[in-house]
Amino acid sequence: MTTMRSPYDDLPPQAFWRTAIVRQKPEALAHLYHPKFDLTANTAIMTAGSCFAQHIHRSLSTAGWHVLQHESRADIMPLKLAKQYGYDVYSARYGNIYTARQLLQLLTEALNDTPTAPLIWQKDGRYYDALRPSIEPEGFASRDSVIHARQEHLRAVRALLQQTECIVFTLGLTECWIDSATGRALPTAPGTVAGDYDSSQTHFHNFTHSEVLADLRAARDLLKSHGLAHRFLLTVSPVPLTATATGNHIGTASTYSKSVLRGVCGELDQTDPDFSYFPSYEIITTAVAGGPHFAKNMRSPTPEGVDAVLGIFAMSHATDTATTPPSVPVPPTDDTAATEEDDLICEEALLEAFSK
Amino acid sequence: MTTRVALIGNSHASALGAAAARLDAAYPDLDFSHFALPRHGFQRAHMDDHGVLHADTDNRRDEAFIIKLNGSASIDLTPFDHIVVAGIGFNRRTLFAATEAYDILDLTLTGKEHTISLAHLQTLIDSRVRGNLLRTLEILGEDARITLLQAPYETEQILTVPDQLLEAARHPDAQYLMDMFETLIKGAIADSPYQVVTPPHALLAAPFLTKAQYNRAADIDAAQGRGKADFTHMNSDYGFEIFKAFAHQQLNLAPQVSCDKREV
Repeated sequence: MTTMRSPYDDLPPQAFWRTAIVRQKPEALAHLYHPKFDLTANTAIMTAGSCFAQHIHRSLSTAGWHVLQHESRADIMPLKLAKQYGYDVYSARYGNIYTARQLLQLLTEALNDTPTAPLIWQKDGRYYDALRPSIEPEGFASRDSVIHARQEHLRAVRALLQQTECIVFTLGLTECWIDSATGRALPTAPGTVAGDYDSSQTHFHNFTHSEVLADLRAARDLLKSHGLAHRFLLTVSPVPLTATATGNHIGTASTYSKSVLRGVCGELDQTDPDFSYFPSYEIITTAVAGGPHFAKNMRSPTPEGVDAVLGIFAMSHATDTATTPPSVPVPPTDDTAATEEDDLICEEALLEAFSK
Repeated sequence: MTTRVALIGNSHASALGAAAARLDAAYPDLDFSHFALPRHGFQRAHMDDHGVLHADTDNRRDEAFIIKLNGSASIDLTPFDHIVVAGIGFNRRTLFAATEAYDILDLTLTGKEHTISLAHLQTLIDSRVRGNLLRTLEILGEDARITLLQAPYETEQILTVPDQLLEAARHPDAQYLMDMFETLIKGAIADSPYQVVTPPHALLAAPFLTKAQYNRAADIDAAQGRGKADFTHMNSDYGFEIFKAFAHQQLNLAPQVSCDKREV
């Protein structure tokens, strides 16, 4: 009798759906992500990406990872208010970066010695930086202020890049609006936050696999050309598209986008030593880690899902930083925070006035 | 008919206390009662269900001090027609700190490395003003008899020492910033049951700076050896003037005698 051999015979539990998913064996979960390069609590991390990257930034920062923070909020700014103005949401105030093209643009601008003319939108007499329109909800009073703020921002991003060792980038979309005159990718369509849609000035583009791949490699090459040997830890946002401009159903359009992005990450993970993929997309959207982890609106990840992402991340990097006490921002100072000297002076004044 | 006025507050009530005799003389139809709490006063006080304000002390030293000041550690506010609360800062230090740390986009730039937009600054200051007002409301309750006196700006002598307020006072748009701050205060107050009196600009040497003559130290005899710098608290002249502003604004009353303190 001949013994049949199969290439699946000796595979570990995580290779099989039944043992890895149905039985949810912890040892299988540990194999969900194989880091290609070491990350320690001291690795300088820059976060960027689409909305889901905000969870990553907050979770990693709170858990004690060395997440860089430029253009950080001052202690006088209440955290909630500061976030409305783009502070401490990512490693700098660039707002959401949904596409690989946007990331490439930002790095190019930040590392360029010659400032690029900003794209400026208007709304109700106010002026907005079209490449990050949400960071100033009321806009600026003048175009000069937009230009000044953008130059300051690009200086901050440049300084950030000089410190960064690993960019954790969360890809969100393939669909994008392009400024026709300059070819620049916009984070949102004009007319959404500010600006006014004019089909002769802005056109729609849905990036392909090869375009996203090329943009990410170009971003890496650009950094290397400036002596910055960053590694990229890629993730794909599990949050479905809010709307599509393709003319297709939102469901198929969303699947296209996520498939392209996930495919690009897979290819880079397999073929390029500078890129690694972390499966937050799978953790949230599938059953691999007890999910899917979506709230009732079927778009927003649940806190448990986000915790699972960070837990698996920490476990895979064999670090105990997940248990490190959170680095809570210092609460804003106010007039009640008196020093002892203030107290003494106050008492003295009262005694003087009320002495009977 | 006599109108009863409670003059209460933190250490800034000292200016009103110092002017007590002059106020009595200038406003004979008003019956004043004074009550002050040390340090940041009303952060350590509570109002009971019967309208009595109690100082909360956690040690005998504080309690003894409060009793020494007022004769009691509490005051029944129910009989008063008006309650004037001195020394509400409205978190103005946030504005000073922001001006120190940032250039303000959309105003004159002064060469600082970091900027904040004017719209953001306004939103920030508004939130801090309203936060301060909310704490006051939590302690004193919703009471239409209450008028808050904005704490005085430091006197101009403070320009001689390092202080956060310097950047604001020296800002090319200092007047705009102070007007913005006071407008935000009045906007927040308009949404509350209270009234507010901001420092009359006649008492100011410049935006954010009270005239030197109103400094408390001006009333202190140097021979007493109590020359410790205190640019925060004001003297009896200021106390009289700020009350005069309140009386004019809220009671439509003018002082009935000369206000020269030498006559008292």
